[in-house]
Amino acid sequence: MLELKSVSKTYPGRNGAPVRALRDVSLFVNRGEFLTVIGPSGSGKSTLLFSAGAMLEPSEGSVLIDDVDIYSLSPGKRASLRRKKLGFMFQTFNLIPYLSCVENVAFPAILEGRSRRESMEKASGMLERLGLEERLGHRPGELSVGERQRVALCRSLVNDPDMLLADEPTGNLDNLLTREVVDMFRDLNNDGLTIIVVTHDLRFARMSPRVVKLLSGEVECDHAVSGGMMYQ
Amino acid sequence: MNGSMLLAWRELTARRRSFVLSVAAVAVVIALCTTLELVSRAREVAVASRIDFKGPALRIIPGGLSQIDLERFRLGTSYLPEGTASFIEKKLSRSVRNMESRHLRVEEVGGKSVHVIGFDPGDIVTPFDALKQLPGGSVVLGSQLARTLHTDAGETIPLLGGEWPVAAVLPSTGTVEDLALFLRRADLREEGIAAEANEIRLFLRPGQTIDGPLTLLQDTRPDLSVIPSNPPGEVERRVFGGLGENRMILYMVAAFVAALSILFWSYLNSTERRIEISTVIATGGTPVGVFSTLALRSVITGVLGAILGYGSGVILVFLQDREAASGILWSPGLFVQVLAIVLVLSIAGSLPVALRSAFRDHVSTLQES
Repeated sequence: MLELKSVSKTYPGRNGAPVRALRDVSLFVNRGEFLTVIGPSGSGKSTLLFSAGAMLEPSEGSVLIDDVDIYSLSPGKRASLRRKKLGFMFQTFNLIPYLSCVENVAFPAILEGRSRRESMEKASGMLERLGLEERLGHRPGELSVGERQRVALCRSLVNDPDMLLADEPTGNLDNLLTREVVDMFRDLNNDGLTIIVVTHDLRFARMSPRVVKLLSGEVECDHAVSGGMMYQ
Repeated sequence: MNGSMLLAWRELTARRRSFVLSVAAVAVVIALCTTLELVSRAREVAVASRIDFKGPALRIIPGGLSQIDLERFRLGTSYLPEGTASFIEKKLSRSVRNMESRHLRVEEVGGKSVHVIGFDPGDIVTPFDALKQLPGGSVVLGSQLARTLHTDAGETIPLLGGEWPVAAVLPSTGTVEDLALFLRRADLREEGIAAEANEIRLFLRPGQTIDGPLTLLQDTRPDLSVIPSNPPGEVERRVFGGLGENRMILYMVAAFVAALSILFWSYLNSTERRIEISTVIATGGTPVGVFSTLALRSVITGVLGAILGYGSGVILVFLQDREAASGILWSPGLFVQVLAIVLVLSIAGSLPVALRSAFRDHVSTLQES
């Protein structure tokens, strides 16, 4: 499904010295796998996520999705791949404030070329399944944090992606909501969705069957644990 | 485009106050420019009509003939080459407002040599209805000629072997036409057919001077003699030309300021919305889609402002000078020009910011958020 081959990423530093965010990272993620990437701030977690998500071209190495080197594709085809195969979730949800909940969710489907009506119907159905049927026409600013989280999740899944990429999805949530998100992710993974989460939150690591720990841009350890619970 | 339209329209309607203010600002500028242009055009047309009555700017006669020949109507059997009128229509359509074909000759009337003018009522430029509505088979006399012949309207005169009723006597104009006899060119027959034109009179558009058409005709048609009439209207036409250039400078300044405003507004908007733009890219949007969204916001604002502004301008002109404006109030050409300029400015003004937004480092933006 996803393969990172000797991926390195170097940023120009402020004082001119290059900053190596990822160093020779190799990783293989199978279809239907649930991978949690942990590590301290600055360890390269987000860089890895965005490189895997066709958003950030590595300085060295290659990223393959379904055996296709995604950075050999044109920008337009990479955008198409993001629409069709990938779903992004962000720590601050990044919902568009002047669109309603249902429009926020439907937006990637409209970008994909589906009719507005079809997209809105699908978005409504997804929101209703997550208990947001009363909130369809509300704007993000009128929702609670937990509701925004669910809207963001629906948006990332509206095009039926193969892989969900989540950047600190529980960073702004209390314990109860975090538990809810963890449960939702587990259910989605049980349904066959490949999930990659980068997080500080060890609660994800505890329930994740596979955990990769990054340190200074390098894979420090990569543990596949049957049934999770390794980081209890 | 569907997604871009959704984003553009939702954002505009969500920020209703700034949307209304932007549309109003565009409308005010367009209304002022439209009013200025329509009033100027109305005035120019009104003055140009009066200038035309003073005489043509250029007179074209067969090659080899002189101004003296023309003034004495001694054009003999020389006629303008076939296709002269259509050549002028094709080459000088931007300069020429009206064109009149005539046949000039001298005929004996009651033992006197009389200047006879054969004209086509459909294209004659004159303030006199008697000439525009002259029925076939009758004549109109210049005031001085009528006195010389002791003839008045309703009487007849001998001409070309027959008796011709005098339909009217023209008021004195102070020109050589006071001494002329007018009749339809079709009545001035030669060998059974209408007399060929031996003079074409050109009346220029406001703001046009005789220099351009004169040079073109002299350079390309040596088979014609082109005589500049240099009537008093030439001065007015030059003044119109200068005023037109000044107006154009004013419009260009307005357009430049408008483009800068759109650029500035787009820049603020894109800076404020950079996280949204990066999110759109992450969810599968493209740089073209980002550009479309920013440009569409400007285009929607600009087009609504242009329609409101043009409508307001037309109403202002109508209220200001109903009579002068009545002929040019509905000016689709100007409306299309206004819309085209607004569209170009909206797109051009959005382009630099859209490009910058589309290709910025979206990952850094998303990480900062």
